[in-house]
Amino acid sequence: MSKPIHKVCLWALPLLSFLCIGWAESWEALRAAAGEVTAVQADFVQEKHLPILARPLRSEGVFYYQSPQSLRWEYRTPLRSLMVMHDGRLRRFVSGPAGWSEEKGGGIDAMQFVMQEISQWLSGHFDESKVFQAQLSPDGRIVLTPREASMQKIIERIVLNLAEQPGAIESVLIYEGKDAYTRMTFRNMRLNQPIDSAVFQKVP
Amino acid sequence: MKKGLYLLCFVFLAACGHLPDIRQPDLGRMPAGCDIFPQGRWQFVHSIEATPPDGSRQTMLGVLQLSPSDRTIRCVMLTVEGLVLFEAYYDGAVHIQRAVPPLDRPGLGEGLIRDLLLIFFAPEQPLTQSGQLENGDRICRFRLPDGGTQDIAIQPTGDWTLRRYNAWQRVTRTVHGESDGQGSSLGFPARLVLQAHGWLGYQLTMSLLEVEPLDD
Repeated sequence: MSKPIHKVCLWALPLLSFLCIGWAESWEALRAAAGEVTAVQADFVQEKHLPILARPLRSEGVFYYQSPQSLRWEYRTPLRSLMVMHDGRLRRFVSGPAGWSEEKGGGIDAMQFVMQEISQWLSGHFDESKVFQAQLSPDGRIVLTPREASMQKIIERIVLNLAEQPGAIESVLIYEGKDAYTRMTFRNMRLNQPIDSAVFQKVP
Repeated sequence: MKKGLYLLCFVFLAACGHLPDIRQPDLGRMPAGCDIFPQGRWQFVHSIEATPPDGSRQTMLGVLQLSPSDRTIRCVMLTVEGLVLFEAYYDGAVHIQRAVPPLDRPGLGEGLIRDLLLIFFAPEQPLTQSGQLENGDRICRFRLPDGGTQDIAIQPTGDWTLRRYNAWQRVTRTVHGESDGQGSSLGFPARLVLQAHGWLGYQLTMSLLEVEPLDD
């Protein structure tokens, strides 16, 4: 007779925690685990929580990363948009009433910086950020706090929840203020599976 | 001296416009379809494509809560990635709670709320004139306290155009409301296009993503 699933999960929890703690117990262990990861692909669900919203705004998309600095960050619902970074160049496209169009200027410089920061996280170099002060907690969470007051006005803190799979991040929480935060949860994460370089170059 | 006078006349004439003639005026009744504004409390989520005067284009998400009965608005603008750029509410005055670049320029928040009031709330003044335009569209005209005029023209398809004129009858804002023809937006326009005219003109294209009624 098979055991109820919740009992299996309860049994497995300490092991999962152990696995997580195993690769997330120090910056050195994190860097070593992340160093093994050269490619990541995952689906993601993003929920935006705001005090005025009765229910969160939900977006879904796909995410690809190839070391050292290639990223594809694509939203598929409710608004189709795409950011690709390859060879140090960031491009952003949004689907509108007249079809896809490339967006330039405005916040693209800021996004370039954000994308580089994400690349740094994925390579395990959390504690080397010039923008965020990183703190590693024993339960497998990394809390990033902006170093500068000007940045703190925009982002209060970022919490990265590490997955049990070494080198992987399970979810990201971006806190902008009291009751205002974004939760991004990754699903179907595949590590070190080959990604065609066209993924980082193909644009609408 | 003469050149200066000519220039002055040119500037004066350029600043003036004229209102379209109303043919077959109705007498004292609101033509069917002119009531284009939401009734009751609603929450809208739009994608907003903003084209500022420099021609660059930025797409954002906009969350809007409206209460027409007490003319209040709550508004949040976010990046596509979910970062809040602007948050404000209007209760007769504009209260900006958060504004980060590029939406932190002085006056921008107030202007944005003014545009939302124009798009979503009926004029507070009574209807002054209604009838038909030369092209057959139905029209409602409202005189505003600042000497300006607001026209709402309804096409046979149900799509509409709202025009705001200043006291010199020069058009300052145009809003087009278009349905998607699929009835998927509870009767609200699937797309709203606001054009601000003038030297620093800009365009906002709002595509409806979600709409839901709010409890009273």
